[in-house]
Amino acid sequence: MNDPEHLSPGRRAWQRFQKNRLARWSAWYLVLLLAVVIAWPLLLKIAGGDFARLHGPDELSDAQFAPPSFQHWFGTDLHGRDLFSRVVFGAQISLLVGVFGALVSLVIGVSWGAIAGYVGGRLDGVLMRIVDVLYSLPTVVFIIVIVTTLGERLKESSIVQHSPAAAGALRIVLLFVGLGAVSWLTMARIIRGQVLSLRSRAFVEASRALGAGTPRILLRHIIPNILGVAITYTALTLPAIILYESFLSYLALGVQPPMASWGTLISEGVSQINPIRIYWWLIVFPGAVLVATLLALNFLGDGLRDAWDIKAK
Amino acid sequence: MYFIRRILFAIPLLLVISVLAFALMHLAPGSPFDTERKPASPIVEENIRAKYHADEPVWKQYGEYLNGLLHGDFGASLKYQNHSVNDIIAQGLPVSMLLGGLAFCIAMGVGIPLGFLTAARRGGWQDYAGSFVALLTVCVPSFVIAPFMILIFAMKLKWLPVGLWITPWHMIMPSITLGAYFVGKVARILREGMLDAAQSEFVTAARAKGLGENALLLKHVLRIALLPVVSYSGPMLADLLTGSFVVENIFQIPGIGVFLVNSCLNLDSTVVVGLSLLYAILLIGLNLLVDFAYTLLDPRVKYE
Amino acid sequence: MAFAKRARRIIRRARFLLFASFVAVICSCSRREPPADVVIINNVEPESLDPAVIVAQADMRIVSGMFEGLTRLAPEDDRAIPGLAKNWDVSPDGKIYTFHLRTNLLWSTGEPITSADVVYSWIRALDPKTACRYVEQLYYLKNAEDFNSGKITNADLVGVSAPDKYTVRAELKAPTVFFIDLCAFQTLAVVPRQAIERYGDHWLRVKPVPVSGAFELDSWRLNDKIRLKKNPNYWDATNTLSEIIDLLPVGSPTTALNLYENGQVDVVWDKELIPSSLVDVLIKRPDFHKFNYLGDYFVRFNVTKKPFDDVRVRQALALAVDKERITKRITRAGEQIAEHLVPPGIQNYDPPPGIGHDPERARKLLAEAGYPGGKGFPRFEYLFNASPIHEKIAVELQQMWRDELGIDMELRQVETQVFWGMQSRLEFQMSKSSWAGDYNDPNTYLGMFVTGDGNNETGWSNPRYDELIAAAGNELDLAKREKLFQQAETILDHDEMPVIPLYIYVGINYFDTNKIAGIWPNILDDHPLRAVHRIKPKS
Repeated sequence: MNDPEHLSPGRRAWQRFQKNRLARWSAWYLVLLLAVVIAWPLLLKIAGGDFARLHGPDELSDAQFAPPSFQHWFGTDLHGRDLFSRVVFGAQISLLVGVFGALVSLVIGVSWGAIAGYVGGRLDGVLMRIVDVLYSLPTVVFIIVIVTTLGERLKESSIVQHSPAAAGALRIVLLFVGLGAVSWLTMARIIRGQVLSLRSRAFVEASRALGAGTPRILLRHIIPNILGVAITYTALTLPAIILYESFLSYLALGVQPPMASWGTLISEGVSQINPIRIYWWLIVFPGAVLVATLLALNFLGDGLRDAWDIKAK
Repeated sequence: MYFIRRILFAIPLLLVISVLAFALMHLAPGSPFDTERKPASPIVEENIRAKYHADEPVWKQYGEYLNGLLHGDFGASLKYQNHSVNDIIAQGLPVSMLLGGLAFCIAMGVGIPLGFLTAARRGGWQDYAGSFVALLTVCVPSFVIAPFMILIFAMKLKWLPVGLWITPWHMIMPSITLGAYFVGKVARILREGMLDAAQSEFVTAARAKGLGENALLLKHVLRIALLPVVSYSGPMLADLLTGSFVVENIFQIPGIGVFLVNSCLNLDSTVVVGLSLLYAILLIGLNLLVDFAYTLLDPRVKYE
Repeated sequence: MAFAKRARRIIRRARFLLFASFVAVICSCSRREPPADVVIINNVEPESLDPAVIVAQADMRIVSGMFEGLTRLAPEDDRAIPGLAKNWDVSPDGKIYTFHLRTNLLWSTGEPITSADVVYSWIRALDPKTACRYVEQLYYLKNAEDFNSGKITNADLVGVSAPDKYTVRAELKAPTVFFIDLCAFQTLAVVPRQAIERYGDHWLRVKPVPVSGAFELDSWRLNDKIRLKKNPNYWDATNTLSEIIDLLPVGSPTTALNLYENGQVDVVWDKELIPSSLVDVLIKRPDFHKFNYLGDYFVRFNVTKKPFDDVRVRQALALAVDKERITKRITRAGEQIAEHLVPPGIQNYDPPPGIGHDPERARKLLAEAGYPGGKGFPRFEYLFNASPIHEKIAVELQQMWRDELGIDMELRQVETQVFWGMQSRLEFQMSKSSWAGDYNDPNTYLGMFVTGDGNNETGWSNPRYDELIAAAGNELDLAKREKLFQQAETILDHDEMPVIPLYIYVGINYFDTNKIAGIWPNILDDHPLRAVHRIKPKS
């Protein structure tokens, strides 16, 4: 009895999604990546001793620029640090920034767009004009100013001054706040459009005619129906944010050394592309992992969109 | 009428943007006047600040700035003291526009056929290969593509110059690098648009009338599918025209993009505000143009 | 469908127009200029070309081609030799210099250059309104400091005057043995009053800019290039060996190397423009020229804050640094490690021994200071500006102190512009520093650590040190003067250690000696443009 007409939208999407081979593989790749990212630091901690010293992401050694070998699977960098470990720890940062950035954009975008679309009228006008203004500011300027200005201001605050952990995490928090803050605009516009069209749909009108209150309508009708759009665009925002983070790292605005993200590793790698001598592993491994992850995330996003059957606006 | 209203609306928008950019820059710690070498006496520092009115309250500085703007003067750069923001725009914008224009041509010239091919051969190997290439160009950062292109075409093969902006030969690699990302974007948008359009009712009707598949794709489907591409081209052009920091930086091109980023880092607030305004003006203008193009392409669209 | 047809026609026409205009634009944008004789990469875009404004050494290399002072530097060895002044007399007490100008001096625009121009230029640099950052170079003149800080407003009281059209009289507050060297420094160069008073800040943008030096400014496009062309009115124009020189603003070592390797530029002359990952290979090539350079890399402590207010802590950290590790692993151009702040090879001076490398003693000192094995040592930050080399050195330092002393340092990278501000406001605990000598005398290093100097930036103050530097400033006998400086430096980088010197820079230029001549290695890394030229192929 698999008649798709009888299934909930979520169920139907899941079935369609499973048929999409690329998206399924991408999902598996991402699961694998996550597993490595979580397991590797644990392994280092458990194994300890020589193993940790050999592979620790911040352990300097005399093996400068060692090519990939049995000991160092991805080779080493100028300081003799194990590149595999750095890529894995970089993944932590990059994915963290990507996921939280996408979440920031999800939360702001959905609430902003939903309120504007549902309440409508003057408030809608004001909210959307704000989006227009932010849209017209160059993204680069906005992010740089947020990351540097806000960062330095917060650094001076007493909370950060007294807690080393807060100081260390500050840059990452700033990164995803900054990146999230510029990527919610599109989300807000799309959600508002969806809500607007939903509001005038027959079943919502009917429900309202039957005396349903605003919260009920929002919960029962609006939110389930924009869920697919929201999830899909979040999935598509994620790779965009990771890519943007790598661009910021290229500008040396990324995480603070000796921490590294994929972006910092890649920009370190490309800075030594030259006709005389290339330590190829410095660019190939971080680059390949980044591109593979972005591809996977995009395939996944596309798969989700096809599954939810969302039309380009 | 509609367009006139849009233009009028742009004025308060620009004002808000200038206030916002101005305020953000003044929140920044440090000052654009700090250098490696410290002035011998505090009075020197004070004099530098006085010269640029940095000692006055922010609202007054903004008032003076606005007054200059009304006279078409974007103010003086705080970092490059002999140059005004007008100088910087006058020198950089033509270069960035040419670079952006070339990149736009590449994005459209390659992106549209690529998108068409993948949609027309949906499910075939062309679709998979084409879609993969399109996605790849979106996923590989330009600061990775550019060094590899330089390494191969300039250093090893010696076909093209490494950088600078002198002859058409110098423009090839930067335009490709800058356009690559948008090739993928355009192709993906067009492909989606075509797949959507292929399902629409009037295409089904046309098919029922016995129109050949190719003619159908070219005549009807492409026409509709181009609309989202057109609406994307506005913001895309604005991004392209204000240049790309990465491409200009790597290829040593004297455009606007490098200033946009560097002035933020140098806390050169007049340049930041000036260039932000320029960007906003370009974006608003181009979006207007896009809407206008819409009315030409799609007779159904009417603005009251 | 009439509308669509019309639209199509419009689009077709628009497409043609677009294409045509594109071709036109591309053609007009490919500039047709005569090729330059020599193309030089000179580091990033100069902030200005005004001698009284510039700070960066790279900017000075361009400006010194345009504006000359009473003396100028010899291209071979950076000695100060006669420039606009053909000779000078010094009073027996070493306090009064009388310069005799050449009589054939002309601005590039044709007006004569007289002693009044010299006085104007110096007073302009000292004028608080000009806000010159390098103004200390003129503080050796009588009353100059008071005039600059606004204590006196009468410019006539400053120790520089023009008794007649071709004579400049400089009255110093103390005998200054390097005053002739200073006269070649850019802040003291002679600038055109006629243009500055007329155009204000814009004077360098109004063509033609009158210049006193060997080259005129032909064009200046930000981030593109500066083109200089020979000034035919320069008094020594026969020895200006190039007609046109292009200077490109390039800040990335990789780009600089690629442009050079591809033959698009002839000379790259800044030590920062060699990719650090390739130094070890490149340094062996015949077209890479390495030389001693009057500059060093060091670390500043903020001595006003815990824990670095304790001299034992500072000494412990200094003793624990294995400087050789930094030069061997990171910089790799064969740099000498720095035991003392003043680089060796400087005129009139031999530095005293430094504190050395002794981890054992370091641990003992740290324990004495109350942190045995690094226990209880407060969290501290190392401040540096965003640049690969600073980051790499920071990472090595971090590891060394963790391994040797058991203390944890955090890295804090900020934007360069923010960095300068934070450093001067002492908003750091420890910070990356470097200094390149302005003139060939130990005073260019030791002078800046006296109490309250703008470039001290450590909060450190020592009355004995101040006394010694002041005494050296008044001393005419070179041997005695050296003794005084040595005593001062022993306080600075042995006893008190507000700084840890790490290594001495090496200068590296690259150009093919078969094609380009007129660039000599020298300790100031200054290469007068007038001597640079392309070797004519023998026919």
